[in-house]
Amino acid sequence: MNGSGSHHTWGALGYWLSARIRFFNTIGCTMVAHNPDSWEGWYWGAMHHWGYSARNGGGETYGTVEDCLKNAEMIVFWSSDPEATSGVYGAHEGTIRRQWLKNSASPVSTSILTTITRQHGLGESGWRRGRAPIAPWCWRSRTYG
Amino acid sequence: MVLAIAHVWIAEDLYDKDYVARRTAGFEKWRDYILGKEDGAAKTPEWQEAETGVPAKDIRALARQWGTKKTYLAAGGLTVSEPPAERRQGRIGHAGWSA
Repeated sequence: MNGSGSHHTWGALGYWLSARIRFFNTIGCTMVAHNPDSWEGWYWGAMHHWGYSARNGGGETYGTVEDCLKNAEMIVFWSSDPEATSGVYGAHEGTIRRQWLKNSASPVSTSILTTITRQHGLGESGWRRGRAPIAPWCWRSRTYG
Repeated sequence: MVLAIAHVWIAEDLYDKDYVARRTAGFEKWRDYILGKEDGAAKTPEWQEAETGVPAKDIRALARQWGTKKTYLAAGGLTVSEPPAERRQGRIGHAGWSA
């Protein structure tokens, strides 16, 4: 808690220049200087700098957009709604990809599953245990093109 | 929900057997679990309905559509994405997602 971590814009106490330092000064602490995203390769840095990360068997996600736009007949947005949770952790820049799909020649249908939206998110530790707090089932199907 | 989608793919023969044979290990054990041979509970869309609140008919319809189209999975979260589309329908056994 007394280090801001990589995600330094998250939360009132997580931010580098937030109330975090004041707060921890009031109770006393030893600051941790962890250098999570360094180019030297500590922590996440190695992955960011050198590329490649162990994905536990999961496919490399970079560079699949061309294949997606050329060949996909359907896109399933799982744990994400490109209108509401686009961006990091939000299904691979879903918003702009949907724009490209509109501009592409072939019709593509999309299914949006928001029931477990953000369940994978590392920050929502509470969500990882048991079911998601709300289950707003939403399966929308659309066809572009 | 994931298991129920897989159940539809297995029961209705909608998955990519060539991919499973070439790129996965232990599928038979997992398949038997999905089909309920291990614990007597087949992981059907009806089975998941009580847990997720998502109607079985929706899961079945989604799984059938997914299993018969070239589908790109754009998943929220990290590390979980399925390289699409070019030759695959209803791929089972994608580590990190279906396990």
